[in-house]
Amino acid sequence: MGQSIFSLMRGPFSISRNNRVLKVLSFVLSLTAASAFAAEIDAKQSPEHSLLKMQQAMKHLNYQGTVAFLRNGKLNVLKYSHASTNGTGQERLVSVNSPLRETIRDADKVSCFFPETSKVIVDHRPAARSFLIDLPEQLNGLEAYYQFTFSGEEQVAMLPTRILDISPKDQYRYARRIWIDIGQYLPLKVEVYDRSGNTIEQVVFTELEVKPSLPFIDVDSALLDKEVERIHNRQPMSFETAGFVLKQVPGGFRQQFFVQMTMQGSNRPVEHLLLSDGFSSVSVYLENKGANIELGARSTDSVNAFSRIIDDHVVTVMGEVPEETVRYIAEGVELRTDIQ
Amino acid sequence: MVDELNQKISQLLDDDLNYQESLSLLKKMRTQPGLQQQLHRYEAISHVLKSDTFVPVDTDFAQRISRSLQTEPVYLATRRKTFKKSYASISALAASVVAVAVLVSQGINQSSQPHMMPLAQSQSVTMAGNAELQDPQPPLDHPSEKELTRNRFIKYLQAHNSSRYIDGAVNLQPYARTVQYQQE
Repeated sequence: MGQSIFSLMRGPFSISRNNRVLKVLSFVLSLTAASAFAAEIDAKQSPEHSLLKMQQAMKHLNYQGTVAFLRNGKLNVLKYSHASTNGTGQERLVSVNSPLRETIRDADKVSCFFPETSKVIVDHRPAARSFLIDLPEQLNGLEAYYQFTFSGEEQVAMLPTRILDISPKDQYRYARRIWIDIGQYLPLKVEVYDRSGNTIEQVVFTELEVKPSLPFIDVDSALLDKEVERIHNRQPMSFETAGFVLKQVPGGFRQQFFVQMTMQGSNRPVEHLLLSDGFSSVSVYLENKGANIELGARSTDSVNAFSRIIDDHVVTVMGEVPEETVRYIAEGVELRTDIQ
Repeated sequence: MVDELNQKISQLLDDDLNYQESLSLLKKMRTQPGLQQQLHRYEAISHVLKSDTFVPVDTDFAQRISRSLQTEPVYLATRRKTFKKSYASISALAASVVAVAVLVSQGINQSSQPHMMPLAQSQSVTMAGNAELQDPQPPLDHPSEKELTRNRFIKYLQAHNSSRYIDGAVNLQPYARTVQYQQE
């Protein structure tokens, strides 16, 4: 009664009792450590962790190979390379079949080279997106709209991969499957499925090698003796300056950038808002009604579009999402009434 | 007997032997190297008579090819991992139940949401709703109008996603050629 822990340490009986306490404590501690270790292992083997590792690998590794893009029943085979240094990346694609072309993506622009006409098109873009797959910068919150599960292992390009299924939890986005290289965590194969389960896009590496370094193409030097056509030369603006507002957007879609620009070959001002839920992107365009736009729904390969007229304007919503999504967003577009 | 076999070898080379006799002769040749060598000689003679040229081939040429094929390495790809049967069957059953539940719930959701109406119906609603506000739309069957509409759609696609540059989906610059760089 009233004994302290120290008093228990006196005498043989006390020592024996103390040993039991210590044993219980050590057992509890070992259990805690084991469960923490197991949780860490589980986290490292989780689909979300693999996705995070893939995002980092795509950004920081130097790799090159041959990629087949299958869209809308058309196959394009291109030589692909990704160079990275100090967090800056450059993607380069060279087609191996006609029509031959070379496309280079830097952080803020995409350059297409057309030597037959000695012309280069430089498309300035506020946001860089990989040619291989759209990936969100932040993975937090994605689980509210997608379910991530591993569905097996397969060989792609003679490399072992783990298959990651990305299933949407609602009808506003497409399902995806990514074959992630077990060794380097690079995406070796990506498939996008429509809501019926049909493959609408496929990107597959047929061979891939990771290099210690790869050269960057000095695009500015390459442009010196070329006729350069710069399109979409635009600076991101606040969406508060837009002539429209969105009354309804499916969950998870956030603003990526908003620009006001003129389309190539036209002097008409066009407003462009890009939304994305991380994997799928949607563009909203607003311009004067005189533009030649086909109203209603239309689609090409994985892209669906929906256009409607609002007063003297025509709004078009398009993206790599189901038709329901573009229609839903388009029907929620209203002209802004509080323009400063 | 030997002459008869030689005669048959000659007929085999001239494609004058029927199927059964050819099969019987080939079975004998498999066990009698002498007959194989005779076939080889007759082949060489036939070749010289027909072409006035002779390309000597080692008598064991075919055997060496066969040996090479037999010793060619076989690539054994890693097998896809499978779960234990008991777990697999339980998982399959659970997945089926979940799939049915999801499909049923999606069906209910779709039917309950007004913006999920059929395309034609929705289009007519949209157009009718704006009929008073909009000018009569020019017919799109004029070629130039169609071309303008298509061009506008392509420009939207270009601005939407840079990956449009790498596929031929929108027929961007069909005559583009690659450019050469001086690389270190």
